[in-house]
Amino acid sequence: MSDEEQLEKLQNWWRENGRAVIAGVIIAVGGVVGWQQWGAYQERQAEAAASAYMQFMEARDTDTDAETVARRGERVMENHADSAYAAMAGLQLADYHISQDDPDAAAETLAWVTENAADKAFRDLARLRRAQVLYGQDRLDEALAVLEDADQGPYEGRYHELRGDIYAARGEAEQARSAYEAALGADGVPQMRRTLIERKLREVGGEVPA
Amino acid sequence: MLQQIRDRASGWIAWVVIILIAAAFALFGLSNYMSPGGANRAVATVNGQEIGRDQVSRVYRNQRQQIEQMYGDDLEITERIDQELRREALRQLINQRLLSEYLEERNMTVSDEDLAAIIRSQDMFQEDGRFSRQRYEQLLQANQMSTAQYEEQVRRRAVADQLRSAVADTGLVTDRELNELQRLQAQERNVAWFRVRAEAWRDEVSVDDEAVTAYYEDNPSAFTVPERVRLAYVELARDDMLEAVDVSASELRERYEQVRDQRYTEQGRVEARHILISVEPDASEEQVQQARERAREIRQRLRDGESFAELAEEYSDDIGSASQGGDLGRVRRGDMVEPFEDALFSLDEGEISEPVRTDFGFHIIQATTMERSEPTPLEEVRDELRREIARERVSTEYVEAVNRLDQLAYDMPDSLQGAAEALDLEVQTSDWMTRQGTDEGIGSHPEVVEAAFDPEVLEERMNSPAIEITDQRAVVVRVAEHEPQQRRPLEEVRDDIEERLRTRRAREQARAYAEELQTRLDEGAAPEALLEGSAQRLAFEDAGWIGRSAGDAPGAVRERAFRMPRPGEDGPETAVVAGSGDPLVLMLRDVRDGDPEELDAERRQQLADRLRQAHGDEALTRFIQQLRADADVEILDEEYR
Repeated sequence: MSDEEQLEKLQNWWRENGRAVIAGVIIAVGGVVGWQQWGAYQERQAEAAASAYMQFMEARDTDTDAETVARRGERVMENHADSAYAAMAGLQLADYHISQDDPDAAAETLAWVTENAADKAFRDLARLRRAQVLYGQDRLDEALAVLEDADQGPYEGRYHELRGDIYAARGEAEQARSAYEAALGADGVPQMRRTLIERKLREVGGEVPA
Repeated sequence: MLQQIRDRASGWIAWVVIILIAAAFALFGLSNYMSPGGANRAVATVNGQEIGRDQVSRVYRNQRQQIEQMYGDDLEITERIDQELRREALRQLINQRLLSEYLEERNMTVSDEDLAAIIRSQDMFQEDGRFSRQRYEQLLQANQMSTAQYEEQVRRRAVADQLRSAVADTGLVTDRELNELQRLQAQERNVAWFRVRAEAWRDEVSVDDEAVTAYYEDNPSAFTVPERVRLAYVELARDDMLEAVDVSASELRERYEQVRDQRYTEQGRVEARHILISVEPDASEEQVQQARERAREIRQRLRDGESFAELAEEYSDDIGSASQGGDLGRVRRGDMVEPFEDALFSLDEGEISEPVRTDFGFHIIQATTMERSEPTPLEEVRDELRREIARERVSTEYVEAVNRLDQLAYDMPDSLQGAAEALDLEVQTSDWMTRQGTDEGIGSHPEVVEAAFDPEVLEERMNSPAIEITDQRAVVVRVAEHEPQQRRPLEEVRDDIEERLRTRRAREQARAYAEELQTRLDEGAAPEALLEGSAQRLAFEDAGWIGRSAGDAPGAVRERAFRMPRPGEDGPETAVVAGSGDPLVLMLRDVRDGDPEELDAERRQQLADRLRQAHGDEALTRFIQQLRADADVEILDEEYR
């Protein structure tokens, strides 16, 4: 084909498909812009969550009244439930409630994190702490029920240990023994913790495996 | 080409292709997520992103350095520790990567206002207690960082710290947990025991020859004397050579003159003031002339009796000194530019110079104090200089002598005599030493011991090379006497073995007796009843209440007592504790838990803080463990697995 024929073909092709090409580019760019807008929206949401969290922490760290602290914490949890900040606020708020001698509120906050946090890592941690608080209030059956639902994971050893504590408090030595034994068998138990579990195990008449 | 596109570019396929191409280009331009670095250098990947060997090495080196600084020579970094350090370095990098991916993925951020507040509160940017924008920019510039980079860094750090804090600083501790811990930790146990004196059975047990022989045969290593050597050696010591050096009087004088001005002349005290009529470096000839005229005028007014200080204040262009009446305080040689210095040091006290031209302009100088001092005479420094020259000369002579010693020892390998005579040294003899060396003498230097047991020295009886023990001493050694590892003959150690066997059997008997006692106690016998008629075999020791670390009891007793079950209704729990000494029959009579009431507020707070921190640390570890379980982490290098 000569150059002229080539050119003619190109012009023909353009006549037939030019609109499609232009539209394609527009759609593609529109997609990118839309994507950017979606990203910007996400960013705004993230910033809003971060700001709400900072306000909550600031209230906690200054001598603000407990009600305001709690309200700001709950605002993060309710308005930004999908954000990691919701779970973080929950953990901080529960700790704050304990320091204010309000275990009921702490347990409730932790229950929310256990059920609503977006990440398993937060849910598992909140579960452990919730059971701890319930155990501290002598709500033993509830504490045990919370741990009942737990699946395997990094906190397994701590779940077993707490189960042992609960059984021991209920005077069920045999269950306590097997719970403590399971706790000792979990992965990566720190040495200080191990010594403590061994002592608890002996208290309920168990033998520490060699 | 175009034909092909045309064929395919009809209908909906054209749309799809075009959209894809356009979109791909658009997106490619927006973000380029190609990972850097060659594939062969990756040690691990986290969700497909590589962690390079150089990164791991950097972290590893840092940590190793810190550890070495902390422990110094107390810690030998074995290959195993070294490998563990490398793995730890990788673990940390993986954790960092997991965390930062998490933060990014979960869109965690800090708003611009909050970020500004954080930076404004950072100490290093404060001036007079307030944030200084200027200081902020200067500091960053000094560290070659743009504000954008720094702000991003602070943002990331702040976000990471928010996460860390939410997990690790929230390890709540309940009262019940504290009380339970106190009950357990402060628990006390009431114990007493019979000590069964093994000594009492010593005369009863018999040890026959057969048993002694058997023991000798069964324990071949117990009676060996290790291989040892005694060394002959010649030693070169730097200090010995110093005395022999001859330094001539002319040498001394020459050296004295060389160093007199800097070392032995105490600088006099010279104080000065001046008036400067400044001249710009690019001043014209005319301007210089004008300045010179002014300086001369001032000089004349001084001559006419006007006050130096007042004229300095009025006319001097040296702003620093003008307000002080031109005073420069004490001036040392080298403080000032040369023309100034030359003029000043040639003045007598109180004298005023003519105008002196320097790069700054014209100075009129007055020496307000001019004390010159005399150098210390040679006689007083003669010994010091003599030692100094000797040391310098010896340093070459010593090195030559060491080389010579080495050569002589090599040329005459069968004796030290020749080398000793040539260098006017004596052949000395060491104490016996094993491969472990000795505490004192030349055997205390590992280099010497290593040379002594070298096959050429030990077996072929050649001289060692010259060994530099410190930079002050060097020796050549040869083996004078050698004893191979030996087994002491049975006759020599018979008594020793018999003694050991007797002790062992007596202890066995005592142990059997202890077990018998335990059975009787378990059957309800009163402790007093057991003691009757057994005074020389038994001692009753009553420690009463002991804690996990308090109270008076041997370690083995404490350890065992706290492992025993609580005693029931029917008398004490018992156990036989048999260690390396006398066997004990231990009785645990009672247990009482720690009392939470006894924790005062301060102790309680301390305990709570410690627990809280432990809970927090563990939570963080577990949190990262979960992130790792969720991620795709692959360790490529086997060494790091």
